[in-house]
Amino acid sequence: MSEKTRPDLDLSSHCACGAVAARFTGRPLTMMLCSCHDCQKATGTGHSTLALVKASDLMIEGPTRSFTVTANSGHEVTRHFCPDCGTPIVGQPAQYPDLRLLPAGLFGDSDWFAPRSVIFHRSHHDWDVLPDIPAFNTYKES
Amino acid sequence: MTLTGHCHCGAVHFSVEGEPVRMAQCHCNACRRLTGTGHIVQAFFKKDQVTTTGETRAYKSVTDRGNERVTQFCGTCGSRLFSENSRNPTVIGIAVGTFDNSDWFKPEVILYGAERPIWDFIDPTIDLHEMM
Repeated sequence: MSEKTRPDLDLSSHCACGAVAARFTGRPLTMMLCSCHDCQKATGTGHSTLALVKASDLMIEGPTRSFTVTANSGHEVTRHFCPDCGTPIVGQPAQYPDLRLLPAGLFGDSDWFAPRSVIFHRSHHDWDVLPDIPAFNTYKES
Repeated sequence: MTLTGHCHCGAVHFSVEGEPVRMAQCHCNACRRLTGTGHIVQAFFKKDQVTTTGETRAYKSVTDRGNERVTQFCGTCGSRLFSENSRNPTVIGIAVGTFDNSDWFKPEVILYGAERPIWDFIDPTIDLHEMM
């Protein structure tokens, strides 16, 4: 990704009830939409909106609860959320311990978010409107 | 029709008899934050149409109109599940992503278009409201 599509960000936000705060300082490695069943269940929507970032660029303060599941990749993904309001805070892919998945909707100012692809399009629903970007049945590599 | 669904981990299940009374997509800041995405999509039913099993956690907040909104999520996996509004106490909203099959769903209205993130695309044929 070019520097233009990898904006240099300094973002602060918090969950809906304010118990958990998040700050991200750096550039997303990539951004994506994911229509997998797990993301649909977790968000209650048709797709998640995620920025892949370095764990070292992210600071989370406050208590979170987490749920770990084996994803379609065969690797574990842990989703952290606020135990009081349920706001999704961050995702943690076990096979990439230095990376995190940050939900774009956590931030009030998210004009920087520019997804490059849709992954797990195979479970996309007709009622869910997607931008005109490359879509992959599973991962981009497949 | 009978509709079923559950949260990500399976601790909470629900079933619904009959048709939704309303189907909506909301881009308000609260829905954006509580899903981590650009909007929530919900189907609303009369409460007596809906049966739930398993425990949820509830978060109470106040809407722009001063009503009490209770949003429920699974305490084990965090999945967004139900919402209630004191303005319509007989109705419950269910997050559409948690249904086992949602082919029947189509939003009738898009709310809070004024707070929609620029990257979140909408169907231009659906009735769009800037706020409620």
